[in-house]
Amino acid sequence: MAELKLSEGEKCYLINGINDNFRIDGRSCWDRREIELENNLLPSCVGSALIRSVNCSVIAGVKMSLVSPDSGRPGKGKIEFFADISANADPLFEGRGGQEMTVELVRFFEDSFKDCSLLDCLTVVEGKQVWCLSIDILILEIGARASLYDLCSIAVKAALYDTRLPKVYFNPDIMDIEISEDPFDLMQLDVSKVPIFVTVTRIGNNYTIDPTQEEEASSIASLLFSVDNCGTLLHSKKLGHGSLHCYPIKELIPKISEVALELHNFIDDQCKSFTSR
Amino acid sequence: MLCLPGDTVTEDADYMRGHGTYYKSKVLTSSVAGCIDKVNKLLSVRPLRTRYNGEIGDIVVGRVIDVQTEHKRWRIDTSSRLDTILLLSSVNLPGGELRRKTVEDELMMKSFFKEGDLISAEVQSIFADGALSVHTRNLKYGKLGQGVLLRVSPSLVERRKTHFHNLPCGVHLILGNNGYIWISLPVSEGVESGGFAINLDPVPLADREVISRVRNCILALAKQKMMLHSTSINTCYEISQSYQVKDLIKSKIMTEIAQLTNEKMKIEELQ
Amino acid sequence: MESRILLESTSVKTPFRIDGRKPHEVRSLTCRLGVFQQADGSSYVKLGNTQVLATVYGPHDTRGKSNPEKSIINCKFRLSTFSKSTRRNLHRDIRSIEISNNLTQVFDSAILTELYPHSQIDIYLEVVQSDGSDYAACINAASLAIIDAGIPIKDVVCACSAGFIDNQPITDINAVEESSNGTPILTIGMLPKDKQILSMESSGGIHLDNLNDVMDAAIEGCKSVLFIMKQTILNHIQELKD
Repeated sequence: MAELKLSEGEKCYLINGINDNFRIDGRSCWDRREIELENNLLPSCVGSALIRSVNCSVIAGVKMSLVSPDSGRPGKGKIEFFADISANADPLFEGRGGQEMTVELVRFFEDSFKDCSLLDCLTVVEGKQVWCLSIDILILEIGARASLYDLCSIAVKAALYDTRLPKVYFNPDIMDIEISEDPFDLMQLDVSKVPIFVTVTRIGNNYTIDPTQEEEASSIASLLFSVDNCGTLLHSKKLGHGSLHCYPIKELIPKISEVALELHNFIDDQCKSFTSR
Repeated sequence: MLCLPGDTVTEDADYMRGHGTYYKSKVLTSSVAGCIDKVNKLLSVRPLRTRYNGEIGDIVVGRVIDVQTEHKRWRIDTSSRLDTILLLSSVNLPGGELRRKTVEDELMMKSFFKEGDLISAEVQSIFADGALSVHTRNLKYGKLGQGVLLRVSPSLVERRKTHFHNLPCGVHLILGNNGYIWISLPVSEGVESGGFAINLDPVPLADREVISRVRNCILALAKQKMMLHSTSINTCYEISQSYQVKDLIKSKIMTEIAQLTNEKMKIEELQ
Repeated sequence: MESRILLESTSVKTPFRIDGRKPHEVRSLTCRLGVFQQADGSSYVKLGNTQVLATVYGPHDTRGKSNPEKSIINCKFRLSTFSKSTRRNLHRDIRSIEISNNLTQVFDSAILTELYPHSQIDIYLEVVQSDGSDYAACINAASLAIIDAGIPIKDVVCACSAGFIDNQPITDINAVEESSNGTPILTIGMLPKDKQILSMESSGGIHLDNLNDVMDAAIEGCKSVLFIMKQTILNHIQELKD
């Protein structure tokens, strides 16, 4: 989306509000807006999810293929990421318009998932054949960039929760593996250790989550953390041009674990309610 | 009466063509999906959503896109189909003076309005290509200070006598015809700022709550496609008191208060 | 693959297609308007398993050359990476460019562009799932999105595909029928009230003797599609009545 420029008066009002812990829409700095989740919407993918928030929509689709593992990691499967911003979000993203943003997003995903325990579930024959999951993220609508990362990670986790891979058996007659043809003989992945991203944005004297576009335009910088459901920090990155003091960051850490855990629980509850239908 | 593009509005040759219609071999046909409006002999079709179609005399709230010193004008974004123009000659100078603009004024244009500034203005004329020309030659128009800007569809703001309101709950409201709505603290009477100086004193928390509540109410009404005017906003504000401000952004609650407002207004109309 | 039976005749006179439809049956169609808040107009169309999202931005000022007589229409079509069973690269292929150009021409004739000189209207199509008749679904989605944006258009543009298998004209081709060898496909986009054809595209050989029947099949399909599109639009603008 185009860089939103705010007037002096708007910025002043907004920042003073954040300092008082009362944002423009009445939320406190750590309140998140509603998120709608829908899964299993793409028949061509083994797993898919659609996430909608106020101004942001993301679809994640998972496709599978059997490949040989990396020589240094014979017991681990592979996960590839690909992200794209549709021109639907803004005419600026026509063609290759959003490439800068998506490259950053994909790199962060790759770094966060590098040592994820999910990869161990993807081994078929150690050293010979592993599953490779190709996760495509399509961004249909963007509000603030800072909330985009969080929503993409929720979409990916929900899509992985929805993923069903066919079971693979070893057939001694042909001395090779065989993929089950039974459409109901599927295995679900253990996604409990899949990380979720939490972005905190520094505006005025406080850190906030889930900023609106106006709030992001008045912000100094953002910190992006990827956290798993035990509160382990897997990867972090700074976004934006401003500089940040270190002491407030240290105070942030317990809050971030809390927010991440809440998100993990939210996704688990939502996805469980889908499978029980 | 609702109609879809391609539907015949009337075959009577007496009527004149308004917005949203076109002539298809002498028969007046609708070109948008919406409600047929009849004003005397003028038939037009009003769609649910549209880009702003400015008319002379409209009040608009807009954001400065850039300053074109060489053309002596500013380009303003008002969500119209072409960028709106504010000419240097259409602006009051600080202090409210009225004099011819000099070369120094051209160079000082950025100090009057710069990129990102919000202004309220009135549509003065329309250029041949359809772009609007606005002016701020009145003390009630000019640069906007601290407050909140909302963007809704222009079709939700009716053309009324006045678009500047001081609501009883204690906020000042500008309902731009272009769908841009400005909420701020009440402007005290008799302040002659000339429209350039803005007050940057921190706003107290109690006033903030009122402004945020009004903001959320307007968004709830807009979501239900209800017309926005001082009565509907006031009614919605009173109904919303049973909820906390931050709960008013949840979609279920937004739908509920908008529906209650609709019902209450219907009852009051009947009385 | 060649020996696959696309049209199964049973003891009943009417043959059945591979997905159980009768020859002139259009797949189930669901449409929604206003799915995105930030765009001026948007729509979602689900034709069988084909899912398309359309957004419209405009009319707005151009940042470059403009046409002093009418609005410039900019239409871009794209198939998502996960739209088909095999992953696709996003690099724009010739087919996408061709469809984008066709769509631009269709809507350049249908939209009343003379009303908005010096401006530009952007129409973006994203095919999220492709299961045949992508082009037809895109025309329908774009038409709904334009109406949602309140941009004046001559009529509700609708489109449908038709083909010819085993001497039988069929309406609304799905992916299996599309990919089998030898199935000619014809897509027609039209202005329904005047029965004016805005787009006619065919691939595969259709004998001229059969062309009339295939065209009729497509036009009949357009009627079914139009009925559902009109219902959707009317439901959407009901709120205006209050």
